[in-house]
Amino acid sequence: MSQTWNQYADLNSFLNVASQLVKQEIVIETNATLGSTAAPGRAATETAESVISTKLAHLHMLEELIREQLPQVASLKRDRIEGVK
Amino acid sequence: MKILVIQMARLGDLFQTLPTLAALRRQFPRAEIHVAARKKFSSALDVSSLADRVWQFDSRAVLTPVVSDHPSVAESLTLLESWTSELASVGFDKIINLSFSPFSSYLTHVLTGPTTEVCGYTRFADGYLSIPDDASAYFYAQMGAGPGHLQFSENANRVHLTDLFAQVAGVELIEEDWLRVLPQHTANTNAAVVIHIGASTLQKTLSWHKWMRVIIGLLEQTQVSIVVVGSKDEREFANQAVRVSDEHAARITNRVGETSILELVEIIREAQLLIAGDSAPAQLASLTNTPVLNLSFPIVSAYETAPRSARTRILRVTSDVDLAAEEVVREAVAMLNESTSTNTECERTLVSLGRTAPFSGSTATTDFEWALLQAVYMGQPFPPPSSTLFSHAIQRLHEVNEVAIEQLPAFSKPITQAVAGTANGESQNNASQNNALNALSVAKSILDRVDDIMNQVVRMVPETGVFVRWFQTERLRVGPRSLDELIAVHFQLHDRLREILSVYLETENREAQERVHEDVVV
Repeated sequence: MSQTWNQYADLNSFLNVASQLVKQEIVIETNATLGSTAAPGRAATETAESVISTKLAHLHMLEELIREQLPQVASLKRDRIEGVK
Repeated sequence: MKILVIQMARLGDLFQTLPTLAALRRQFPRAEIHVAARKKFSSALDVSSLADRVWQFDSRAVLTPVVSDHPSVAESLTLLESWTSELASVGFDKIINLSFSPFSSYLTHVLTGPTTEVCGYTRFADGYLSIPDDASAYFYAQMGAGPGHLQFSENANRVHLTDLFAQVAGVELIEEDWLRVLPQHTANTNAAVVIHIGASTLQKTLSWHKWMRVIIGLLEQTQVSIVVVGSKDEREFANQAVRVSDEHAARITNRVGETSILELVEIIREAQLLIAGDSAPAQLASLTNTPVLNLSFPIVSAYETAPRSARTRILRVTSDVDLAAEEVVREAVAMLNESTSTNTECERTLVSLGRTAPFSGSTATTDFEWALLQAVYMGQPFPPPSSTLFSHAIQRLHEVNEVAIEQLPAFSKPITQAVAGTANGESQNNASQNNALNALSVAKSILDRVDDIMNQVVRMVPETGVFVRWFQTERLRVGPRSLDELIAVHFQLHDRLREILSVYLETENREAQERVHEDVVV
């Protein structure tokens, strides 16, 4: 996630890249969950599904927030470029 | 009992949510009522003590990491997850989402526990939109963006948003709920006329030079003093509009960008009259029962969002160019003098009614569609067909609906047979399995075509959109189920559509029979 904003000037490509990265994180996190944190008496797959579902829901929330708040995102970006605090 | 009300929209929507909060308080006197709102607009909740706790969502803070020098989606997600996990830890018994937005639907989903009762948009386990209550389904189908990009010719809905919010929450608004929100307006003929010249978009207000002419006209024709209000963002716009001669300067006060929400409440409560477009101050006036001259622009529906104070009048504005400033002044003076409207359109479409009654009045183009909505959703009788074209469109919808019903059985047998055959390692039935899968493929393409034809019918005869949007929304509400259950529910939905359409098919058949009878008699 170290690329600059300019490389993500197009919102959709930015979101696509973000989705891919977060999905990778989900896979890593899910593997970790399956390996270590499955609650006793509870199916590991159920725990994993819950993690995936919650992670994806938050990712979708962020995507929708960016879409809803596009003018505000643009304003934040402009403030940063112009050094406005 | 812990109740969370989610209202992530703007200031005006939050004001329109307050009567529902009052109704929830009345219905659940011992409940703990929480409200989640955007930080930027949550001050709207400061005007009353109806919420036990307000959860401010700081969208700016959450979005900042994605626009930093080193953009970090992960950091934004962490902030988001931190906020939702704290909120989820409350353990709400009931969540009422009044936002109708994709963002709020995901928020509701992540806050929902195994025993939480949910009203409003949320998500199914597979991530698709879930609409558990009928009032939200009505909004989705007939007021919102609409299913399948099936847009409206003109919004025929006449259910006010305040009533819809209450319906989503499962409460009924009574006068007491409105009175409970804020101290009420006291009529004082020496009080100022308050003008809100801004709006959330420029399409919902007049140009500054037209407002200037309204202000000058009021100062010249009356003895009232004028207070101009608005947000900080509207200062420049307001400064241009309030330039008046020295003769009148003493009677005008420009408070734009200078008032807190609580000060605004007092200014509006004490006003003799508020003149405003579809904006937060107009919604605030509904709560204090201050008379409003509401300028209603095409971008909004007066039926949905007009202020509901007693003695309110709505002046429909087709565009800034078409409305003369003199007309606004004339109507405002008539309201101050408590004389009847001088504008026939205003009198016809705007009726000032009590706050618990819906608006009446009509526009001919949407009368028929509104009657259809009432028939489908509110148990009212179906109106007679509006035209021969409408009857023909109903016939086409009926035909494609019957074609769809014929396809549904193809979804059960082939899949069952094919899957069973594969599981048993049977190779001798390959041919029959292929046939079944081919039949399934054909049925799927026919169903897609049925949807296309339904949408085309609506484009040609928009009134039929009431039925198609209802049908497509109800289908979306089905959600993930076993194949057998899905097929059974789809049968029920198509059958219900058949039942609705048959009302007009019977009319058409009867008329055709009457025409034949007349021919025979002649």
